[in-house]
Amino acid sequence: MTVFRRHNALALIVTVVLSGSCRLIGPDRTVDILTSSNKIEKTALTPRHYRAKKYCTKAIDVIPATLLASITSLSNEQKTKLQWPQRIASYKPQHCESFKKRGEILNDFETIFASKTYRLGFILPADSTNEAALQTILDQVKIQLAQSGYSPDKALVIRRVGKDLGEAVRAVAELVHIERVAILIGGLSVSHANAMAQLADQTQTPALIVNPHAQLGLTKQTMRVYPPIKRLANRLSDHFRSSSVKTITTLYPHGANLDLYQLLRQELGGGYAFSQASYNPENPQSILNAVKSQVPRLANSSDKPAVLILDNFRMVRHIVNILGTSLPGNKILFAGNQQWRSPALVIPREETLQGAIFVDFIGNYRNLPNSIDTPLSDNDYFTTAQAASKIDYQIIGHRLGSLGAEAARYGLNRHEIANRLQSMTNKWDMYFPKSELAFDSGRESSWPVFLFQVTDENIKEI
Amino acid sequence: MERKHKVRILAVISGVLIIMMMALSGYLWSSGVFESEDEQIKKLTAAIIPDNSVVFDRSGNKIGEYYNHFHIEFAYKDIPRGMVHSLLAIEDRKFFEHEGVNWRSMLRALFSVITSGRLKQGGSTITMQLVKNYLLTREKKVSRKLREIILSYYVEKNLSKERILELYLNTMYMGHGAYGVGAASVVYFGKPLPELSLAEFSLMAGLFQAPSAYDPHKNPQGAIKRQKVVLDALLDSKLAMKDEIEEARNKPLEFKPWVPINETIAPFFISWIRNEVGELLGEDDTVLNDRGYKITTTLDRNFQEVANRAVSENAAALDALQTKINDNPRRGKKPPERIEAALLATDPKTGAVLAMLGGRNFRESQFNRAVTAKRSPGSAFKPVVFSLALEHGMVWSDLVYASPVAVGKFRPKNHKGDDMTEATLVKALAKSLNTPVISLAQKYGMQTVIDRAELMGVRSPMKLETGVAIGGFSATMFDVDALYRTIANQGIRHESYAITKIEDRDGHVLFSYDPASQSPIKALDTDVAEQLRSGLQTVLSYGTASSIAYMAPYAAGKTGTSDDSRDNWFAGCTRDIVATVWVGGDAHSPLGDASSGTSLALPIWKTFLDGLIVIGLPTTPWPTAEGLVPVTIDPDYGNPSDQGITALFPEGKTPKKSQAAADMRSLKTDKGAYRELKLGE
Repeated sequence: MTVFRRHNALALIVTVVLSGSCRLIGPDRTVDILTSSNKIEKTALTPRHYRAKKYCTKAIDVIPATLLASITSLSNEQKTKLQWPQRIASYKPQHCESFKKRGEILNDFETIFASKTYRLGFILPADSTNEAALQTILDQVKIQLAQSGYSPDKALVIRRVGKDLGEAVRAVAELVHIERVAILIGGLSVSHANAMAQLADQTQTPALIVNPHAQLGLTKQTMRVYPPIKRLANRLSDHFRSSSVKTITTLYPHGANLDLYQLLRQELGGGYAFSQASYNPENPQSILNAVKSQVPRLANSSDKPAVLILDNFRMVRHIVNILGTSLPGNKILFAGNQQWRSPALVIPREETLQGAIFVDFIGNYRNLPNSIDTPLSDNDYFTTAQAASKIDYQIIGHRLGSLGAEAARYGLNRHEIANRLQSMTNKWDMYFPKSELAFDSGRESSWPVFLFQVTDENIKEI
Repeated sequence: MERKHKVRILAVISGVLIIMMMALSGYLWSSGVFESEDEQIKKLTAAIIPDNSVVFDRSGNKIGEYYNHFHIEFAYKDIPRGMVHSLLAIEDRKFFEHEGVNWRSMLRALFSVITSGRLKQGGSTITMQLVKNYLLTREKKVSRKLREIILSYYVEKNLSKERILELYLNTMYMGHGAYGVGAASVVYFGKPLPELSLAEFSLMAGLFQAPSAYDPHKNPQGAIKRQKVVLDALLDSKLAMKDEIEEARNKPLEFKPWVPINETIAPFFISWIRNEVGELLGEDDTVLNDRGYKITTTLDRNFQEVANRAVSENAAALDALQTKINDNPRRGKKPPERIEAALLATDPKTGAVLAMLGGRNFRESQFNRAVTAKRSPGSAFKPVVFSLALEHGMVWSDLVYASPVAVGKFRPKNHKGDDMTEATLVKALAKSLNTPVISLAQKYGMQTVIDRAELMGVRSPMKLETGVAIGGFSATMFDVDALYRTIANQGIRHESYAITKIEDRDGHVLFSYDPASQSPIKALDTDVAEQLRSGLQTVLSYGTASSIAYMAPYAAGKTGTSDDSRDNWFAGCTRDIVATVWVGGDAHSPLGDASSGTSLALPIWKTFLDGLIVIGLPTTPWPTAEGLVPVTIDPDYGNPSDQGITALFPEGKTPKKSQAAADMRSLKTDKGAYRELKLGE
């Protein structure tokens, strides 16, 4: 075992503990320095330290200090077999002769450290129909890792996997057993999510699943990172109750995700009259027929009816236009989801839409994390249509990356990471509800929920 | 004894003669020969020569006339001498010498009858012919002849020779529907009487004897043969110089087929005006015939001729379509008997009717589609709804939605590909989208739409139905024309009119109309009218009439097509004229999906306007009203754009770059999921 080499009395053996975010520059980084007298000194690590000549002697050996005890207790044979932990770097004193050189050392040091000691295994679909979204999520994860001090290229082990469940299981196993990643991320498709959940349970590897429909594993290792459909449904149902709505018609395009509608029905329970109609968004006659099929119900409703439109703002305007023509003067509460969010929903002013509501998991765009590129208009509640969809995926990527990095701040074994994920709050991530745990008891990540109302040519948060 | 015998014989003869005289007198008395001549003679002495009532255009050009018998009156002094001499030579050389009866001629004629058994030579003088024609019947009885002689004598006592000739030359039937030499000169030679030569006078003089037999159009050889007889008579009577006669004898005659002016220039207008005049004078329109009224109208003969050409030049396309439809009949759809076209042009500044064409061929069909037909105006009506939108504060860059709407069982459709799209208000107008108009009409209320249409001049009844918003009712061309007159004239509508003055033959003014004395109707606010007009200019620069985009700087208009292209319209205007063109079948037969106001009516409108411009119609752009500014915008979503279309906006409401518009474009262009969070299956 050559973890520590004492070339001479002046030699310094520096053990750097990965203390959460291994950012190159940052006041919250600490290092444990093993002095020549075998004492460990804990001190904040700043560039100034790296520039100190005393650290640049014959060699610098780096190892996660928290594993020091276990390492020292292992035999060489065991260490060789496991390849973990291991000596990851050795530098000659001449590398420290200039500030520039020392900076390079620092970079290499961090990079190697991250790539070997804390890695995320990312399972991505090989044949996604929304490759741009995957790339957006991946980019945001990398940004979060980089901001946390990791080299994204080395801290992320990416596997593109097809839909086959066996293939997914093999890929996850490889990540767990060979790549020895600390956390699994992925499960964008149900098959991937199931494979991840299965392996996560078996190997006690923490897994962040990005799929609203996949079953989470039996153990606490698996958690879901996805915008909060249930919370959105809850918020909508509260508004329906307060508005005395009893008749709810849902209109949606063929093949639309009806999670919000289903959860809304669950939330509201009995006593409500539900109906639904779908349409081919490319076929005007189909749209007209779907809407017209609901007109009698709406016209004859004794209470104030609601129409839930699970489609984008453009279709909303058309449907409202159709209903406004079919039922002039009828007061209908129109409701929707984040797909409504655009200035084009409210400009030009549409009388029929006044008072309409929609729920969203994004509030003021100005409050989004800095890593998310948000083109803003005059109104902080709107961004561009091109940016809006991307931002949704960026916030998911942001959440994945930041959770992964934050979870490792205080622990480097999988068990500790899982515990950390379960117990940590959102205090470190300004966008998410600060007082809440990052994951609720159902292991669903916490998200903010917003309810907006159409008022003249604007929306307001209510 | 002998003396007694003589006395007895004489007594018997006398008795017989007395009895015969008494019998003859009784017969003549019973035959009315000795009836009072006073009443009869009055018919001639107080005779007013029938004269056509003539219709003039606004520049004093003759464009039509009303008559029972076709006359063109000439005072004796205006009748060329050659005509008079030709007549005298062949009919009555001693006219200026006898006192109504030429006994010598009569005896000669009688002798001719006795010797040959038939009448070789007429014995009647011009006066006798006039009497016979004017006062008596044409029956061949001795009593009628005796009465003719007696009346002729009295006529000569009461009328001058010149007056007798004037009456004769202006009233005698000359064949081919012409009465008098003035009418005959036009009917046979296509020229006014003063322009004729001795050759032509002599030919016409020959017609008096047997106008139908010598009708030059039917029997030119016979007419010319008769002309030679007249020329011989002229020579014989020395009423013309020998060389003049020879020249006339050798001059070839050119007969021109006669088409009544009523059927050539503005037949539908002339036909319509007849009723209008009757209504204005409070009399049956037949009183116009032969009264010699002078009716001055607003029509511009030059404009009318351009209108006639515009329709005839596009007739081939209509006929080709007709053939196509007939060759490929749609099941259950009756093909049109004939594809018709009509055109109406008015002056927006006064309401004056400038041109009118009620059909393609007046001879084939006198039905005046410009006045009487009631057809669906289709989208040509839409500016009414757009005026309300502008009045309610909308501007051309505002987005509207071409959603597939339905009101009850009424499901208006847009043209293919225009459903489920968004458009600026100006695009909805320019591209003639239906459903945004329905939505707007619903928003403002159909009664409001109808009230506005009536204010803008629509007089046809409109039901309180949504379909009216897109022209689903029966309107006249004048209804449509009134809408565009209002728009072209900054929202001020003048009532249409066509007659400015009616005078009797003596110059007494029976009716006059001064548009300046009328109070026009303020139908639209000036800024609304100006904005609307600028929107209609984009129909030309960008919309359904973009084939005449070059006219957009000075013209505006709108196409209109009713269901199954039964009615195809283009109504448009410049500062100085409003023109409306309709194409369709009288039986409301569909003209096929490929037909539209753009393909059928617009080409005629274009030809018409091009023609008017050639003859001097100004192409001055409208001035921009105070408080409005032109802005070029993206027609799809309304953002300011250098490459877009230009329309007028109120100051302070000019479009600015809009994220809403950009979002709509993005969503339509990308067709991607918008915030659906679709990550995997």
